[in-house]
This record gives sequence, C-alpha cells and structure tokens, in this order.
Amino acid sequence: MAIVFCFLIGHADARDPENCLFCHKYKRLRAYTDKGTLRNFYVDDHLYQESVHGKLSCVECHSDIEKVPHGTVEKVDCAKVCHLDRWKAMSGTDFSHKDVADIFSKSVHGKNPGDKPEITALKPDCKYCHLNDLYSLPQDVPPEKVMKRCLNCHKEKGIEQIFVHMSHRMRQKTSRPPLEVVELCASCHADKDFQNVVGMDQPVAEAVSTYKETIHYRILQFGGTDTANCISCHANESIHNIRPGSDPQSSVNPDNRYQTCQTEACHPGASALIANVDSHLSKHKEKGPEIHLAEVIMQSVMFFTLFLLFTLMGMETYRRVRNHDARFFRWRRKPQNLPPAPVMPADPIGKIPNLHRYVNSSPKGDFPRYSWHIIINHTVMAITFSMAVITGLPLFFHNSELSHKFINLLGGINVTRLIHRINAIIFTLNCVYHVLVLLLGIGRQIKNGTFDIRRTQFPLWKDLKDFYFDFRYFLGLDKTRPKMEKFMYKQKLHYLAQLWGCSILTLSGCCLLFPEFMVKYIPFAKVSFNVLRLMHGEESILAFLVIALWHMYNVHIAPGRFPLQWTFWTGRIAKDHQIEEHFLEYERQVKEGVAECEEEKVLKREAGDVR
Amino acid sequence: MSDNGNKRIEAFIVFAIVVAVAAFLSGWLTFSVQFERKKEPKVEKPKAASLQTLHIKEQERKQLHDHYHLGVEDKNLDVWADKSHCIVCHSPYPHGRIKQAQAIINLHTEFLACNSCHLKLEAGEEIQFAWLNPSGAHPTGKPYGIQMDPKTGYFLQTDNHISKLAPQRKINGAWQTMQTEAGVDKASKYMEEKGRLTAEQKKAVEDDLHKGTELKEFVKCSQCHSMQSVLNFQELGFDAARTNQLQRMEMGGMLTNYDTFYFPDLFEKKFK
Repeated sequence: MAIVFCFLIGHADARDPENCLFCHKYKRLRAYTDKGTLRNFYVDDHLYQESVHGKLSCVECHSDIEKVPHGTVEKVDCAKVCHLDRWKAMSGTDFSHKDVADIFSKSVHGKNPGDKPEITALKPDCKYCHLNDLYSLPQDVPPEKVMKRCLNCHKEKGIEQIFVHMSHRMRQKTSRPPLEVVELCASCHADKDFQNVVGMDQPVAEAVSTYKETIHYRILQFGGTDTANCISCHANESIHNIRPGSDPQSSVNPDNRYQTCQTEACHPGASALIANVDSHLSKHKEKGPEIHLAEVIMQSVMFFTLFLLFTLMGMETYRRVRNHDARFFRWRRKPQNLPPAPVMPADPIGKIPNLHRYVNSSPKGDFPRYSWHIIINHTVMAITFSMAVITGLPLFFHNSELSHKFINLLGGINVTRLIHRINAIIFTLNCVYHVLVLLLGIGRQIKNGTFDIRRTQFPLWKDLKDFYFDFRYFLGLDKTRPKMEKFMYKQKLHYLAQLWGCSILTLSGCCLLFPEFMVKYIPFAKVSFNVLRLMHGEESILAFLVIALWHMYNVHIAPGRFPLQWTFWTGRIAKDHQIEEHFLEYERQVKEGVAECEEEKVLKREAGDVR
Repeated sequence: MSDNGNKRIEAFIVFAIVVAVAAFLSGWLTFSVQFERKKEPKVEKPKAASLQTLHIKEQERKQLHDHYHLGVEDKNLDVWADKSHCIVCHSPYPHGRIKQAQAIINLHTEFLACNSCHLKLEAGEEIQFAWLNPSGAHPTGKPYGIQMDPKTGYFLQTDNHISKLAPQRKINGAWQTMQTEAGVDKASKYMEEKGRLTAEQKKAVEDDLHKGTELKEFVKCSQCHSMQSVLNFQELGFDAARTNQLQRMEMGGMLTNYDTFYFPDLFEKKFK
C-alpha cells in the first residue's frame, strides 16, 4: 500500500529529503506551550536555502528526530560534530563549531559554573546573535580567484560554501548591519530588568545610552556604515571573545584600548592618547564630572543668554511701538514733525532729543559703515552658517523622524557629512580672512594715528552704562536712548558671542574630524577633548538660536527695521538708525565733515526753509 | 495719578510679563532641546485591534532571537487583526485541544477564514468557496500558496499574503461570501470589558458573536484534501502541481524516508 501511495504522490524534494517542509513551510505552524508561550515552527524555505546552513537537511542538526510527526525536539548543540559528513571538505575531516564555542564560553557572555541560575538564563547562546545569515558574496575578492588556491589542499565538493562563509567572516566581524549589531547588544544591555538581575554598575548600565549620544551611533542611525558599533571596540580579532573591560585580554581594557582605536578601519596612526577619548561620555556626576559640569555650564549659558535676549527683544519692541519711534515697515517710515520747533542754537548737534524720529533717510543707507571685506565676510558667514545648520541639525536631533527624511533629501548621510565638512572648511577660512582684515585694518589705523578703541568691537565700561540707560529708556524711566558708539552694547555682545562660538565650533569640529591629530596636540586632552566633542552640538544649538531669534529680530523684525536693512549689501547705514543707536559715530562723522548736520536740516525744515 | 505715573506702571507691568515669557521660552528652549533629541525614535506598533494580536506581536518580538529559520513578519495577521471578530478574541492560533495537532490545524488559519470550517450549515445546505479580502485591502497578486515555482519546488513568490478562502452561501439565489468584520467592534469591546462582566453577561455576548457558527469536533482532512474535496482547487486558481499536492496531501517523501512510519491518533483514528 505504501508503494502505491508513493507512486501516487511523488517524491520529496532532494534538498529536503525528509520532507520536513511538508508542514514547516507554513507560516502559521505555531502553537502555544503549556506555559502559554507561542512557539513558531515555520521555516522560510526560500531564505533557508540561501542561508549558510542551506545545504544541510533538517535532521543533520535536529538529529534526534526519527519519526513524523515528531514530538518535542532537543535544542541543537552547535558545538557538536554534527554535519558536513557528506562533504568532508576540510581535508577529509568533519567540521564543528566546537573551537569557537570554547572561546565564547570563556568570554563575558559564556556560562560559568559559578553563575547564579538567573544570570545563566540570561546569557545568550549561539543563535541569539546568529540568525542563520544569508550568503553574501565578497565584492572585493572574487571567490573563484581565491578558490583555486584552496583547491590545492581541499576537495572541491562543498568548499565553495565554506569559502564564502569564512571569507565573509574575514572581511567583516559580522554579517549583521552595524545598526542591527547595536540593537542586538542593546536588547539586553539597555534592558532595566536585565541590568538589575546581572547587577550592572552605573557606567556599564548606561553604556547603550551614552553610546547613542556619540557621533558613531548617529552616523549609523542615518544609514552610514564606516563608523564604530559595539563590536568594533568590544570584540577584538575574535568576535566571540568579548571580555569585561577589567580583563587584561579585553580590547577595551585601558592598556589595550589605544590598539583597538588604532585599527586600520578606525583611527590608524593615532597616538596612545586616543585611549583618552571616551566613547561612552557619561554625564553622570561621578563617572564624568567634567562632562557633567560642562553640560550644566552650557545649559546655564543657554538659559541666561536666551533669557537676556528675549527680555531685551520684548522691552525694545514695547518701547519702540509705544513711543512711535518708527512705522513697523521700514519703507513706510516718514519723518515726524518736531514738536514745538525750537530756535536754532549756535551748535545744534545733540540738541534735539530723539532726533532719529525727525530725519529723512534712505532705507538703502546714508552713511558709510562697513568695508567690502566685511560685506564678503558676512555673506560667506551667512551662507556657511546656514549650510552648517542644515547639515548639522539633523545629526543633533538624530532621533527625530524629520531629521531622517531631511538627510535622505540631502542625498544620505555620507553626502551630508561631505557637505558639512567642506562647508566647515570654508567657514573656518572665512574666519581667518576676517581676523586678517581686522588685524591689517588696526595696523593701518595705528600707523596713521587714527586708531580709536571706542570705534571697535572691544568691550568697554561705557557699554555696561549704555545697557543700563538703554534699559531705563525701554522701561520709560528715561526719555531718550543713551548716545552710543559705532558698535553698541548689543552688537558687541553678539560679536563676542560669535567670536566664542566660531572658536569653539572650529576647535570641536576639528576634534571630530581629525581626532588622531587633535588628541595629540590639544592640552589636557583627557578632559578638553571630551568636553569639546560635547560642546560642538550644544554650542551649535545656542548659536543657531541666537542667530534665528536675536539676529533676525534686530535686523529684520524689530519695528522700523522690517523687513530688512540693506547694510549687509551696501555697507551703508540709514541716517535714522545711525542717529538712534550710534549717535557718537554720527556726531564724529559730522565733525569730520563726512556727514551733514541733521539737526540744522530738521530745524530749517520746521522753520519752513525747504531749500 | 499723573499720566507719567500711569505710563510707568504700564511699563513695569509689561516688563513683568516680558520677564515671565522670556523665562518660560528660555527654559523651554534650553531643556526641551535636550529632551527632544534624546527621545528614542518611534517604533511602529503593529496595527491591531485586539489584545490577542498585540500579545502575539509582543511574543514574536521577544522570540526574535529564539528563531533560527529566518521567520518573517506575519503580514496576513497585520491586515486581518481588526477585520475578523474571531481573531479579536481567539487569535489566529485558536486550536489547542488536540495537543499534537494544534500547530498543524493552526497553519490553516493563514489560508482559510474561520467560517470555512465553523459555519453552521442548515440541513442539506450547499456552499461553495471563494477568495476573500478584508475591506480596504486590494492585493493584486495571486494568493500565496496556490502556485508552485517549478524551478525551486517551493511556493511561487507573490505580494498577496492577504487573501483567504471563505465560504459562500446562496442567499436569495445569489452566492454571498460570509464575512466576520461586522462584529469586530463588539468583540473588541467585549475583550476590554470581559473582566468586569458576570458569567451571564459574558455568555450573552459570546452567544451573539458565535451566532451562525459551531464548534466542530473534527473536520476530516479528506473533506478538503482528497479528490472529492469541497474546494474546487482549479476554479480557485491553484495550479496543477499545487492541486495535486493538496489533494494527495503531499505525503510522498514522508513514506519513503522513515524506517518507522509513525502517525499518531491525529491521522489514524479520529479522522478516518
């Protein structure tokens, strides 16, 4: 009868001689255990055949199955000599994973006889990481080229599968994508319950979260691959030999760390000092006090800077509107009538309070203010800063979905990084150009005897007084604004902040771009390098907020300045603006004969003299 | 009070408001920036109306590392989870009474709607079968599992992992497919409130949801897997090879490759 049955039905597939897929090819071949756990018995036939074990039949690993349908099956022991007996490709001997299993058992993940049962239960076995990977042919080493050499000793049958499998392992530590490696490790190491059972201390417990703050992880998150994941550092030559950092054989042991960093794929040529670079920057008070302090300082600076700027913006807006200093739209501004017209004094300069309200001025600018060097500086700065924000901000907010969409729009993380770096170089060159222009300009003025520190961005005691009296004006306690210099206190504050920001961003950017070089030459690298890396993002955010809120307000949004001032392009400032905020510069220009006396013109106009 | 005095009071009130707003905005910008960037990326949660489905998805997630054979996501469950009131309560793995056969019976839920077996028929009533898609789903490919790939000998790949076979009844002279979508809301509400209901209340809801169905002791394999199958495989789109397999229950290799051919009660007694 059996023969008749066979004849009617046909034979099982040669690749599945036991016809296990008769049942196991169905996705819903699942059932609940007595404990209520849903077990999955499905085998994806297409994928399995493409996997590294695809040439093995099921019973070569599940060797205890002798009948069908079978009952409970024993766990497969990867270490036993179980398969390849029909290939004997390794010089006639059977193959086994025993050696690597032995290495693994001695690693931090291996089960020790002294472990508590709950810890033993948490330790991973082979297939926790190895999900029966699919084959991936090496692109850079044609298999047939190398295969010829293998065949000198080994038999052809079966060697190809072994070669592809092994060569893949040699090229990369794992076939998993780097981000998947991180998620795999994090599935235990970031699990609070796991941490409690194992009894992890603070730095180890926060290893995943601190790694996720690094540029390494952010690049992986956006699809980059040329950066470090967990096993890049924690697994040396053998991925199975991960050991605790305190173990002298560990790749992250303080004595070995620099060698790990120095590998060809990471930071070749870096000095031993690179071991000071902490890839798990902890902001915890005890583990990373300097980072904690830097974070607190940066946040305090951000809070108080923003608070000051918001307060100034609010009060200035109120006072300008309340005093009818100007129409909101710059082009609708008209000079007001002078109430009541006084008799023209002998020296009228400074004798008309709030003169800026009564003068005629051109929105495109009346008085010279900036040289064309500064115009170029500003233009390049505006472009490069915007580009830095566009390409850098998504990396800062690396968990936002919007950031990922944006990076994709830019052409991916590698293109974004390239743009950011080229942009940073132009940004830095522009800073150098600006410093040169300043130094040469100051040198020329000193030589000509025309240098006047009051006309520079250098902060002086008067600036504090100006701030005090200006705020009194905003509060309505004074009737006029103080007479201020070419650069008023707000501009000096902004300029100094920019000077600080550009220096920090350039320095910290260099730490990220050239860690091998910077760690060697930067003083107190152990602290300063790590702090600077943290500050690149934090400082960028502060700079972005100051530019987006403060700078935009002062030059574009403040009543009477809207929608823009042409100074950035013409290098000239409007009369009313110069008189209102830089009266001393106006006064100086009138005395030098560069500008006309506006008081005289206003008084003449009020007196009916329209000549 | 003089006009000047009023102006000063106004200025100080404005100042107080500005300071408060500035403090709030500065604090919000400073600290929310930090919180915002540390937020973990959103993980797409499986679309599921039922606690059963959520439970299954959670188990699948946890068992990711237990499964060595490259399991793939259950697209079928994603679509049907909130389109069948049966799944809402019973999950797609409801068959557990016969321990040794539960997985084999469960595998059918990928291809068969629950009514295919559990529809209560009137005496002498005839039914036929047709492919059913849940509302809103419009798969274009042929249903998964009805065609064999002659090159590999496995199922032909398709993008349609959704369609299921469902029974059709003749109502007023026209064949009408039996669906179970209408009771989804009721079933979901029942699952949420189940713990608070009395035995009588539970029975009332269950009777209502189970109307028109029956709990089958056994469905003979041969009702479908034989030359006299109630399913017309050819008309339903199955190719010749797959039809052959299903009608003959794909048993070939199993007979020839085991020294001891063993079938438990599942096939030997109850279903004969």
